[in-house]
Amino acid sequence: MWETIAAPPFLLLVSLAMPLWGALVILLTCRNDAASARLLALFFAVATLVAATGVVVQFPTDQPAAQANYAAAALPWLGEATGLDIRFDVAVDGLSLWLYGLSALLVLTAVLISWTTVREREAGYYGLLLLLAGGMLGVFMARDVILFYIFFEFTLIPLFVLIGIWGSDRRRYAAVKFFLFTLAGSLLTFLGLLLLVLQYDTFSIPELTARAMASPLDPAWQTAIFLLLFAGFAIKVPLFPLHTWLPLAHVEAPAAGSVLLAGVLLKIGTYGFLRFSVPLLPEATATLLPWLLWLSVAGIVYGALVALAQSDLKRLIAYSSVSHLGFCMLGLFALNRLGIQGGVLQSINHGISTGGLFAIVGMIYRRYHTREISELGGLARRTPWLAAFMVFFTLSSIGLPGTNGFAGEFLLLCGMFQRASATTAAAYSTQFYAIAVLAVSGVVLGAWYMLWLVQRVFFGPLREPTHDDQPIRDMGWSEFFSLAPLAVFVLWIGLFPGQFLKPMSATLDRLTGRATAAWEQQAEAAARTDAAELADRGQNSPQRAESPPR
Amino acid sequence: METIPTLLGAAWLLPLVSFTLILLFGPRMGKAGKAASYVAIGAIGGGFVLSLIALFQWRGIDEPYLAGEWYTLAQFDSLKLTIGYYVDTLTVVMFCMVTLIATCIHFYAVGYMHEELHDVTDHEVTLADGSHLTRPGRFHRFFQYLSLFCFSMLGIVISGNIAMTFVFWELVGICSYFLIGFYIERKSASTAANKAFIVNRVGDMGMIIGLMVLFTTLGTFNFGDVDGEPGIFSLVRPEVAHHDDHAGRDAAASPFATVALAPKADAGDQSDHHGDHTAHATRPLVVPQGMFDAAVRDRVAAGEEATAENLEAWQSSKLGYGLLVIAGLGIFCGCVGKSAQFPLHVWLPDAMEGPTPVSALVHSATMVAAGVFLVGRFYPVFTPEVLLAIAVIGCFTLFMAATIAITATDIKRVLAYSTLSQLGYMMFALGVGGWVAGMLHLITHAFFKSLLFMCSGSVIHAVHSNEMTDMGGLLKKMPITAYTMLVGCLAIIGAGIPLVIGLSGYYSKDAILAQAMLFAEQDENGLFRLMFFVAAGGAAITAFYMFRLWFMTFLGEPRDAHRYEHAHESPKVMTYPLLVLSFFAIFVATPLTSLDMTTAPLTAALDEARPADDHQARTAEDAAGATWLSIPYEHDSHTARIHTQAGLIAFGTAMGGLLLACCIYWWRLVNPREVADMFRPIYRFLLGKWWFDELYDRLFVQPTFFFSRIIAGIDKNLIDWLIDNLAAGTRWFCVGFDTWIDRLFVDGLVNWTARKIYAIGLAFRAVQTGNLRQYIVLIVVGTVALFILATFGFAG
Repeated sequence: MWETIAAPPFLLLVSLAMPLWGALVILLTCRNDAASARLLALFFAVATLVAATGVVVQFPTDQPAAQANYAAAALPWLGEATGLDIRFDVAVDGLSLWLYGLSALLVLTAVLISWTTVREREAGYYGLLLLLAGGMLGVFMARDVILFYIFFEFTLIPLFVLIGIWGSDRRRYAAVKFFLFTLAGSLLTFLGLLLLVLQYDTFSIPELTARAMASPLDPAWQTAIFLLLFAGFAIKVPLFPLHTWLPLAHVEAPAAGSVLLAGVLLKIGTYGFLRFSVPLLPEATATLLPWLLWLSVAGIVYGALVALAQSDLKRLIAYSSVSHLGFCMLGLFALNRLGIQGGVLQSINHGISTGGLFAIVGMIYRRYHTREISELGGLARRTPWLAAFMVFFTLSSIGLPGTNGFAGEFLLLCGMFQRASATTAAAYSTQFYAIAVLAVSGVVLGAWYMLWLVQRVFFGPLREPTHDDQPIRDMGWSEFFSLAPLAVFVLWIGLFPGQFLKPMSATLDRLTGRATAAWEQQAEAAARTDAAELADRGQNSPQRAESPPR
Repeated sequence: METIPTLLGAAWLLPLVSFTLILLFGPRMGKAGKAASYVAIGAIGGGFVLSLIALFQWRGIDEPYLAGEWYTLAQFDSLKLTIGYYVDTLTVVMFCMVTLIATCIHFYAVGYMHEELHDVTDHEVTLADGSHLTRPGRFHRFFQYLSLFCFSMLGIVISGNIAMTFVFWELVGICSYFLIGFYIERKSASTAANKAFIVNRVGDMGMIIGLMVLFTTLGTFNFGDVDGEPGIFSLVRPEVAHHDDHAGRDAAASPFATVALAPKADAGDQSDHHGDHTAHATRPLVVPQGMFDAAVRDRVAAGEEATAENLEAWQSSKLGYGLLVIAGLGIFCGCVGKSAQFPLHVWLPDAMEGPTPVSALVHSATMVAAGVFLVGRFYPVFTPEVLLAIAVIGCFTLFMAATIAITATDIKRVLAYSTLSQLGYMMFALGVGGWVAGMLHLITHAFFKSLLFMCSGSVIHAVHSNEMTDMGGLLKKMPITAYTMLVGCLAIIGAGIPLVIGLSGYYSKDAILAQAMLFAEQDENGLFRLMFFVAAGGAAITAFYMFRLWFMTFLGEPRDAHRYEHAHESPKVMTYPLLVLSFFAIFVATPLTSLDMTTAPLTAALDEARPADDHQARTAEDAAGATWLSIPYEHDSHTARIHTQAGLIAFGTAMGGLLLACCIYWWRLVNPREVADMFRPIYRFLLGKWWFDELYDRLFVQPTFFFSRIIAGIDKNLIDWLIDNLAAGTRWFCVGFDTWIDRLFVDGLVNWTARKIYAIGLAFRAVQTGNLRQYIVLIVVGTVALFILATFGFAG
């Protein structure tokens, strides 16, 4: 009995079914009953988290062979009807494990911070929130291209409605922009995925990966498909300069929407790169590598500089996301173990700490109905617990040792420097060192805008906007418990990063091995060309001619 | 033997325990959290006892150092992040110094911070309605941060690898941030805290780059050899290594092993290796194999061939040396930030916004000295060029800061600039080859400067003002503070009977000047000679501003009668630590058996810890192969001639400065106002702190803001505008499409279809006759037709 319940595939399906079923129940039964909508949402969020925890803790870290089909559950699904081998096939592996766990965790946070903030049409709100949760969890577990794409789009619609109905003043504009921007990209991505499916004649992602590794496509084809996939994933991440939808969507979204958007939805972009682009199109990855690195580092510096100029709390943190996601991408495209694992770890970290920061901004907004930094000041006095959490997540965000931010940032910077030092071709090595040093400057700017924000909002004499409704209180229980688990993970990852890195290493090695090899070949070829050119020039120059032959 | 790391490890972790306890139960510890101070004192006091035991045990150990690992955080193929230790004499001495001073300051803080036990009215914060801010006290919070700080600081000292150093480096930074910003309601305090952290981050940026160069080329962060794996030090100076097979194994692992040059060279070395060890001949700095390989890779990529003779030629040309220089400069960058050296010195004076015990512990004795400590720890890796950079930066800082201290009137700021200046001396000493001199000054300075800060705190506690213009004549009111501070002043100016005996500062400053003199003599270079004169002149300025401070505070007529009336000697919990520290400020470097300063126990112990023990000048050659820079060997300065000269110069300049201070501020022979008027531009320049704050504001801060606003504008208006217009364009296109194509074509087609269907319907209406028989016929015909169709149409 217990074995059946605790079996990973069963728990995985439960964790997917819980939010979807919960959404259905809430939407159908709680039309005018806010209290039970909330309670039901909490129940289903907790149930999801419990099931997901069961999946995560049973992951066979020490047996790489068992990881490939861990928690796999498959049904024929559309196969019978269409004659195509489209299956409902789910599982988690080392790449998706933590992203999946993070999603389940943040759903609980999202429900808890909505507890006191959402005061209209609760049933619809919580229903959509759970629907969004189901989509997010589904994206990370899907092992079929069509299923992946369905979940990928599925995350879009609930958030679109959440922003459009429960958002703030310019919500319509923000919602439409968010929707169109992401949809435009994802359609191109879908086209790219279909082309891959046609080439390799399978819808199954593991099968696709295996076949692509056995027989890579023609490089020109690869580049074309890479660019198609890039459109959707880069917009999701968002990579500079495709980021403009993000601050707007964040500012207008309700707090829970922002938390899930920053915490999980952006990670679908990095996940997509690692799941599809890098393993399936290794040569294209190698060809475009310098460009991708430059875009990432541009995002780091650009995001940080724009964040420095913001006067709106949420906007500032949104731009800090652009900067941090730049770090994640930099790590991924360093294309070595340190960089990739650091990059994935950093994307988890960003989900935790920026998720926490957005939740805190939501709490401030709930109290004062403003996000203008200049209208606030000295809140540490009024809400000491809130301030303590804010400082804590800020420290994590600026990468203080002992918190998760340091572990990720340090590893991925190590990775980038290692890549730079391992690349000898003159054309690349200078660029890579420049990129690495610029990325380090992002660390300074990051400390600047975050600490300055904390100073202006929380320190100094108390300055509050007039608020006539009710007295301002410190955190309530729901707010406390929405942040406390995140804080625990900040320290846990910070102090024991090894525990989090180990499960992912085998999968990541397998997925990125070919791309690394392709890049190394390319760099070596470039180095040889350099050498040949130099030798050529040397033979023509008079000095060389005079020197005695060896 | 392994007990020493365990003892020190326990001493290191005790404050962490205290931090955790206070964090969890602080407000409930006794009345208003008063017991939190006992917990913190117990932890650091226990740490001191353990360190002392370790010090005594250390005397019986022959090993130059003990290194090992406690815990592995994460491991990748080549990168291992560990919590480990590297214990040598320096570590043990630093442990004793830090824990002793921290214990004194903890006691002192119980008295100094007693206001925080109840509600505090902060007179520096005026609210909108004109009243002063009142807030609950934060007594336990203060001790919580102090404990965390002690843990982090001891972590830097015990650290066994450079990555761990960096971890604790950042942690002391954040402790400093919290402690400077302890009065978070004051805007000046939180601004100073931010400034300190961000300026330090700029230094850390260089440090990260240095770290990464070491890691990518050497593949290790460890200082010493752990489990037979060579650490950074033995890679840079292989002859010192205790494992003979290193060089050979590295070469085997290197990508050019096939050429097999290094083993040959190693075999050559092998014969005279042991001779080296005993005879103390040369132990030159070499380019580690990893850095050499990295540079060779670049050469090969650039088209040269890695033949045996090429490799040999490259090795003798010190290929890869540049990487060593970059690594050294990078690490030094971090030290510049932490030790507040020019050009990153601007944060330290502002950091005086923190409570005075913090200034005494964090911003004079320990944390800011961590930069100097790290330079000392990393000494084997620094090339002569890097050492020269260190010397120049230190020399400039010591002069600049000393001049600013002349005009400052805030008592704590005078001491802050004095700290900058003394840290400059330490860096300068290290840069010119005086490792023991620099480290000795680090220890002696820690004692007398924390003493001076605590005395100033005692005064501030009595008169409730930082401004020396509010003080005067306090000698009668608070004699213990006055006389202990006099001890501190005498120690910092290096007072003593020349060539015979003196206070602690006398020994360390003499050693620095002697080394500087040797350096100036050895290198025939105007700049180097100038640096010596600056350092000697700095001694005069030091004497002047220190006694200006003492005279203005304790002698003369009270300048503010009201404050004078209320002034009183501080309670015993504050004055006893002053007495303890003044004892150490006098005697810490005194030789016990003879007049030779090098026989003092502390000096002798430090000399034992001299890293990499190279008994020869470190030299650098220019492109032509001529020696252009030579950092002298420290023992060469222990000659009677140099010591006599340097000692007399130091004494003379200090007395000159002291005399001048007496003339102006004690005997009142000259009116300071008139002097200031006479040198108006210089006075304003110094009062404006060389205008560094303004300069940086114009040069870095404002341009960054300007640039960031422009980018934000572009982001908001241009990029978004493009995308919105793209959307608008698409929409416009769709609308156009709608009108022209849709209406004419699609709509037309649909309408046409509809009309046709309507017509067909009309036609069929004729069939609907209401006649039942006709319907049945139709149904039967239809069924048969379907049946036929199904049978023949599909089956075929």
